[in-house]
Amino acid sequence: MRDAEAAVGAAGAQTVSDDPDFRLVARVRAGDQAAYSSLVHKYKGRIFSVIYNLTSNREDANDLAQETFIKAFRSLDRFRGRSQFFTWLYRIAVNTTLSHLRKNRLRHFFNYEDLQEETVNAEWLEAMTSANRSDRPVVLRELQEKLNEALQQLSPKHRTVVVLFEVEGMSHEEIAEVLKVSTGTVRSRLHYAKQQLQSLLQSYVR
Amino acid sequence: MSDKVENSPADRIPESRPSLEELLRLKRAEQPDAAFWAKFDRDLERGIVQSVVRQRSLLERGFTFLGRPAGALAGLVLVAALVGMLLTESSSPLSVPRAATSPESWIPVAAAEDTGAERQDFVIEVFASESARAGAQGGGEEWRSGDAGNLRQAVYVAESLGPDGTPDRPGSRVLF
Repeated sequence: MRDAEAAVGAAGAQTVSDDPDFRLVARVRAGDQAAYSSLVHKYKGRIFSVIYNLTSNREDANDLAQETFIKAFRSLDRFRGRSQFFTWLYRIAVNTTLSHLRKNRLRHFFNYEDLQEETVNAEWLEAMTSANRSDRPVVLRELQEKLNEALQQLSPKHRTVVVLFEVEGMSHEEIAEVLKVSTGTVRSRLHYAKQQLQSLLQSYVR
Repeated sequence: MSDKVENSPADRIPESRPSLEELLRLKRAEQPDAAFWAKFDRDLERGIVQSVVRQRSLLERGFTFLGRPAGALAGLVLVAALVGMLLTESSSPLSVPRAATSPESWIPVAAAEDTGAERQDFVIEVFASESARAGAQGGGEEWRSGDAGNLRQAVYVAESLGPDGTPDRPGSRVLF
């Protein structure tokens, strides 16, 4: 998505009718609920992922992702098309999640999604595992646990920026639009969050 | 035991460890399985239908209520109250911008409506009631912002301003 950083700037030149999401939104407004299923299908993975990475809790992520899509469906009449549809949807997801985290501040129960190990192809992983790769699941599992623990030690606002930038691949500008803050604030939060993570994970990262 | 130590990423030499960014990208591989998504889709469809039904039933209940004699009467009373409020507002002696009723008053009237560079000729201070008139003459110490919404009982104090925007001269205030 960050490759689309230039595309964000060019979004102004893009007309509403050119954007497939806007066309789907128009169809939903006209009463075609199947068009909403297309939007859900397109974004459910990313919305679930961002919520899950903020909560580190599968059940919460499921409930909050459902809530996000229901809220978006009910608010679709208020979507004016001033931003991209996914930015608007991310904003609902992030706000719903942050509100949930504020209400459940003392919750310390986390559960993690299974790693789809076959999708992890990285040179560093090859270097860390033995030739026969039998230790690969153990290495990955430990890294996953340590990373999630470290992320949960960040404040929600710092965690949000790190997740949106490093995991979701969003640009500073897109994150600023989702969070309704300046790009300077995004950069500063990201810098601080990464410093914190580097320190928390110093035994695991170079 | 030795196997565990050898496998631990923390025990690897730093050069073979991932960078923080590479490690964070590991989270992209955390994905639910197909069974999860099938249930997610079913639950979401049910949730959307329930939300639409709830919305419609609230609207229908409202219309049903308005269809009954008591509901119709309540609706009429509400409309009458709204019209009354609008008429009352339009007949008030002076429409005072909200900013001008703040305790930090002495805001030039024109400044509250226009942020341009026009020079101000006077300021208006609003007091809650006749009893505050003495306070107005003494410099506004008896300001009671809580009552300022009731403009019919308010006392307005106008004071002409000099070229530098400060009150022109003592005794230039007019109470009305």
